[in-house]
Amino acid sequence: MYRMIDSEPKIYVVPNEFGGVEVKKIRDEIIKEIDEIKPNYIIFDMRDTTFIDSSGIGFLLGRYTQVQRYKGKVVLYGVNKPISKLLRLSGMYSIMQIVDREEEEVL
Amino acid sequence: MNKFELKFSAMIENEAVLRVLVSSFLAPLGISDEEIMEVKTIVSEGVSNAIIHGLENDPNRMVEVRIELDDEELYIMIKDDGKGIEDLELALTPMFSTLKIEEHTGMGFTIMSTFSDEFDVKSAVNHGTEIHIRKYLHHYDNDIV
Repeated sequence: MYRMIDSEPKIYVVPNEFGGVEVKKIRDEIIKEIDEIKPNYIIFDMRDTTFIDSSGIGFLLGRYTQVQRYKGKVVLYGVNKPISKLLRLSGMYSIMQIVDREEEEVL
Repeated sequence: MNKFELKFSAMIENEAVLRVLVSSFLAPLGISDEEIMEVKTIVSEGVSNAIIHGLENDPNRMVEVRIELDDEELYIMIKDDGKGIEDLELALTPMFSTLKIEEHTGMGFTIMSTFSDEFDVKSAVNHGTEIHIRKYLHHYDNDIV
């Protein structure tokens, strides 16, 4: 059910807590890098993430929009249950591929 | 009853400080990690709104936070004397944001009200915004099987 990955995916490890300050710290650098290498797939590794707020979600949504311009894809990987609830509320499940923490072994 | 009140500069860095504070405040209570995360998210959204929208990141202006805990009832008040919300109904609409350019999701109020049991916003243009939240926590440490 998962599409074949046809180029090297770019993996970013999302910090343990991902709110306004943490976004501010990494935002510009990641935007620049994506613009330069234009990866077909971006995987945000959220296995260590236990907190996110709308700033963090806004950042992920922003990267989705960024790669959409050249038909790239974003995957959120290893999302825990409370965060999954938040992402669902924000409508993220209908636009991105999200792999919840419980079903990690599927990949 | 345990409570505290604090005032801090409208800098986004202080939102992260609040998060640590809220975690420490709730940690001894024996509530679930999920509930702690929900309270942190409520506080984070409210405080970020006050800092970014209300006080426009001006470090000379202050956000006020009050947290009270009475047994399992948590009360949170977040207040700024900033620019206020012009159209409260619109602001409370999911996905609405006045700041389109900086990747704001417009989900802050929706997230806060979802995680709260009672949620109330009072706002007046050029006078500021006050958010009042009540959340009933569930101690679980006494009934672990």
